Amino acid sequence: MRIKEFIQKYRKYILTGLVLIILIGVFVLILTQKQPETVSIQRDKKIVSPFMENTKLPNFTLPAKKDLFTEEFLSVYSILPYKRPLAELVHKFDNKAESRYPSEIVDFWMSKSNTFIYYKKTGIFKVSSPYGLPTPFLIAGREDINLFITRYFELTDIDTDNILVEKNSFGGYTYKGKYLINGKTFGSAYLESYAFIIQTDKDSHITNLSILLYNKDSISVYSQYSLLSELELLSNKRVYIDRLTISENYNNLDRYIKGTIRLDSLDVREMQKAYVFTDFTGGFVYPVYIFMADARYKDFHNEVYAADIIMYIMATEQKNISSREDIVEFSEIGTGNQ
Amino acid sequence: MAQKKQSESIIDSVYDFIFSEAKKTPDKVTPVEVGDLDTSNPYVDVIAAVLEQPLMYVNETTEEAIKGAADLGLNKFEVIADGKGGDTSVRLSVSEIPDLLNNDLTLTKKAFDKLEAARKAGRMTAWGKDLAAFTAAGMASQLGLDADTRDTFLRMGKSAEDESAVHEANTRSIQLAAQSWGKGNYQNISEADLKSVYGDKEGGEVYTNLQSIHQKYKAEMAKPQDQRDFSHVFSEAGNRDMHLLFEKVTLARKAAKARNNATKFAPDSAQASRFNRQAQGYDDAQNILGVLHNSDRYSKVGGVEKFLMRREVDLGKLRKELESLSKATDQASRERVKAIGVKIKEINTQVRSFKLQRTAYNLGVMETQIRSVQQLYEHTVGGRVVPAIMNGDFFDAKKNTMWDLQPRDMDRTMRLTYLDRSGKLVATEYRGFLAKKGKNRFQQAYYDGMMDFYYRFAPMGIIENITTGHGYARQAYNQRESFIENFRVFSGGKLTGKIDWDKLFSAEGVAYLHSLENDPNFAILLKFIEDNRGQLEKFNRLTATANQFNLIEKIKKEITESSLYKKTVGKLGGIVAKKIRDILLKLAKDEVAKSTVKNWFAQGANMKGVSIAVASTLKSFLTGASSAVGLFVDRMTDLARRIARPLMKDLTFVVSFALVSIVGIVIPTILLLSPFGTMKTLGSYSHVAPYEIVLGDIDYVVPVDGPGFYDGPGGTVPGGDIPLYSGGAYDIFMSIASEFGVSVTLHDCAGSTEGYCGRILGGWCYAAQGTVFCEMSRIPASAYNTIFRHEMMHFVQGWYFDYHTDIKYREWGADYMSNNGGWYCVVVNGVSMRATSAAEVFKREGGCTEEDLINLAYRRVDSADPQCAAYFHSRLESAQTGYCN
Repeated sequence: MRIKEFIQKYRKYILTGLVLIILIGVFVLILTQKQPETVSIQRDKKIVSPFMENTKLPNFTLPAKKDLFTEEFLSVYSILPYKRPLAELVHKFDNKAESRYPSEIVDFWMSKSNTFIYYKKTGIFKVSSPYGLPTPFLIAGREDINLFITRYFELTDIDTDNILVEKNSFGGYTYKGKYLINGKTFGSAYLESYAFIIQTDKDSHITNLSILLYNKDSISVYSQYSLLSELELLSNKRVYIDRLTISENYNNLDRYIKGTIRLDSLDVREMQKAYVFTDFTGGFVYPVYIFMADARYKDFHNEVYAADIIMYIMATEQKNISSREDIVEFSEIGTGNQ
Repeated sequence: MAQKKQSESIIDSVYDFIFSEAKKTPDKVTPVEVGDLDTSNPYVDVIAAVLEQPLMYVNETTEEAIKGAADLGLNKFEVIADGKGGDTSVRLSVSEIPDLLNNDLTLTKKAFDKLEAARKAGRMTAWGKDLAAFTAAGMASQLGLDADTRDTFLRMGKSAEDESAVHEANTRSIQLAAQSWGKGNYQNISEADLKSVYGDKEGGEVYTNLQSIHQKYKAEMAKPQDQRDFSHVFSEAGNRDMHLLFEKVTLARKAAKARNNATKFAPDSAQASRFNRQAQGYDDAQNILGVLHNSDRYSKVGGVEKFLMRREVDLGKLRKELESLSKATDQASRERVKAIGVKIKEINTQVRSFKLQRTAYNLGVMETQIRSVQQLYEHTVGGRVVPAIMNGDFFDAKKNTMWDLQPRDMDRTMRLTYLDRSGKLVATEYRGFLAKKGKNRFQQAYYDGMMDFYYRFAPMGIIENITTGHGYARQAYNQRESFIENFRVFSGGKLTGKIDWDKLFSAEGVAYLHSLENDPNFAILLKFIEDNRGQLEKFNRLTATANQFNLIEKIKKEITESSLYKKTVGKLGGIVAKKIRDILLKLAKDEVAKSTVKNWFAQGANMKGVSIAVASTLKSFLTGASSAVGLFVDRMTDLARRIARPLMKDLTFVVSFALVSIVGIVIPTILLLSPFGTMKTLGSYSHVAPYEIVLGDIDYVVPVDGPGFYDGPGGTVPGGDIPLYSGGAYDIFMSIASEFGVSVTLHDCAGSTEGYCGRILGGWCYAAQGTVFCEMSRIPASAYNTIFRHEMMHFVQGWYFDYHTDIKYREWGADYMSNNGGWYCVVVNGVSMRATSAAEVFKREGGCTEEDLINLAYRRVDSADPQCAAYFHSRLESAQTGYCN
């Protein structure tokens, strides 16, 4: 009875107190809830162009079917080198392979039937196995590629749906594919923009393997840059050209000439937007446009050589990206090392 | 039977092949891939190893070693023929060196002969007993000895642990005894002679066995012929010592027969000569068999080791007893103390003698191993092998990559832990002191042996040991391996896999043993440890010693952890650097050395700079010493730098480097000075080309007069099909730029030192930011075409992602593509040469094609063949402008 009276007498205060307690509780709850981290990405951070300026780059036109980025800003990602000991990996494939010719540039192993090389700069790991890798693992289709790379390299972000499969001259297949980075595909400029190229023989054994290795837990956005306009794209001379094939007459040239044949014209067949990794000097994955083109080279005697090339151009505005020329510095004769 | 003949002909053809290969030079032999060998053949791995690494295990050195063992003055048996084809007696010819390989040594007048015998035994069995037996069998075959003798060697070469081999040998021994007993007079061989052959214990047993067989034989012979039963008579012949005796007698009998055959022909005839050669072969075979028979005693679990372990246990017991008697005053105790003293002295003498014998044997092993690799190394890698071993190049994977000769694994680590006196855990991780994993046990033995040799005898290894403790860590590792192997033999292989050896050989060892005390399964281990406690203690002592000598790591740790360092790095660094500079200046005797010191310290004492300054100063200080000392200083400096490089930065480096320099350079140099003191014929820079200081793997050009003092590019190098442009410097420059498709400009500094022109110093050009800055007045017109092409190459290299590497690769590339336009001298495999000549080495040795080399020159490394790329980067050691040595 007394309680009822008490409640009735102090009802307003009790209600106010209860509301306050509930509010405080909600407030505390909100405060103690872990806030999602807001990461602010700095735009236009200083970066050096991965590609050298080629002032003699011939003019070209974009193909009818254009594949252009549409985002206002494009991210440049940063990745770190592969962490797992390569020797262990090699011995998983071939426990008789021995380390040979150690240097700061490459790690190399060989056995009687296989060679393995890891290019420390570009992160590319290559296996050559003319008789097929002595692993129980056979590659009989796209799904095996995923399993193989996951099992042996512990790299899981593979764009399985878009693995290119072609028949090869050994009676087997060549598989080319890319990794995924935040939903976007990327590969290496040294592997025709792919992340891996795997060749098999008719028995589904791997005979050749090239794969970009990196630390999958290290991906981060380095900075964002404005998208390059179509007009700027055609006038951007900072390019990297990978020559895939060249006509026979090139083989007869003296090395001085071989080294100096220049690109005379190019006819772009196809273009793609993509992300490519170049090397671990900066460790960046850049948004680029890739142009597959028929090219014509000339030597200084005006002899012509037909070639099949891939050309890479950064897809971001260049105004905040410093020139690669700046890194070329050297002295000669009598001044010793730098 | 047909099967047997076929297999015999196969093994003979294998021998024919191996011995014909053994006479070739390394470039004429090809490793044979071994596929379908009969795996039941106990020599299958021997054959595989020999074929896969030709000239390594069977070569002139190993053949000579076997012949050397044949010359040993061992005891031989002689068979006296009765003139009717039978024997009248078997006689033991006691040599000048009795009990050579059996009894313990005392330092008598024959001690040196005995050590020589041990050394020869080591030389012969350097690659293992079975490989020696295999080679000896092949030599017997080549010499025309019968197949039975060849098989005798092969039988004797099998391991004493191989039960089927033991059974086979025993059966053979019984057969030989049964066949020959009636013809010989074995019972008349004296006990003393047998003891001199087999040692006191075994010789006595052989004598007893012979007498026992004789009694039983006599008893059977006394029976009527139809009642005789010899089945039990020769059973005592079935053991390894008796086997040796009967084999030796059989060989003696064959020798006598061959000699007898020789007498049937004219003394100078080919037939007589052939039979006499065979007779000699059968005689020599007796000794070789004897050495094979005894070689087990030197193995890790052999008689010598067992003897030493037993004596160590005995000593321990005696010392304990001595302690317990130390306070006793009664007469009996005093007598016992006296007796113990005599006994300890006696044991110490024996132990010393056995250790000497073991060392002599090991030296013999190393002698054969080093001489075996000598031909391979010198023919393929280049340079002499012994200096390479002494200065450490042999153990450098970058410099010694051919034929799998390099024994060291630079990557393997081992963590050694122990509790110090205060009970604190001390843990150190050592890297690079372990041997590589061999493809087979022979190669493994070689790798292990070479690493042991390096730390014990090579100056570079000794210095590495006293600055890093690696040699002691290696000894600790060997103790551990030997302990495990001994236990495996002791326990018959039981339990080995169940023991946590890492734990036992660590700071947790005692606790681990306590945890096993109540488990009866491990009683055998505890018993073994009780008997071999000394070996464990030695391991712990070596672990602690290794840590004591791990100077660099400790100094680094102490400095970096000190608050003083943290607070005053810059200041203290400056003071220390100045002190070092002052010391070096005081030591420097000439202006070249002084200016080098000043120059490098003025530039900020970086590692390479200080090492150049130290080397220069020390060579200057040692003016008058021989060229060998100068070379030694270079090598020591190089070593100090190599050791310091990965470990240190800034001040830590400066302080530690000074210490490493003093320990690693000054002390050994002073030690070495006296023996070289009588060779003062050349100046301190005598081993160096004019104007150059050779520093380990770097040839550093001292620009005394600027580039004009040497011929310079374009002057003397024969041209190739290089495009040549005419006109002035600017025209030529722009033509080449256009050819390459690069946009660069040429700037003549004309004496200015502003901006990048200031970086030219005494040189010709400096290139940066799309411009080549040159002091044009210094460049001869004849050099324009090549030097500008060289410069242009650098810009083009920048297009590719492998540009950012050591400049030696870029300079080689620029020079290769400009016909040596930069006038660089590159060092490949320790040999100094022009870039174009180096290309030939890369093609020849590294399997590179011209296309590969162009890709490497442009720094498109991924595009070159993998093996070529690996070889190129591993073997190109440096690039410096100037003359080539």
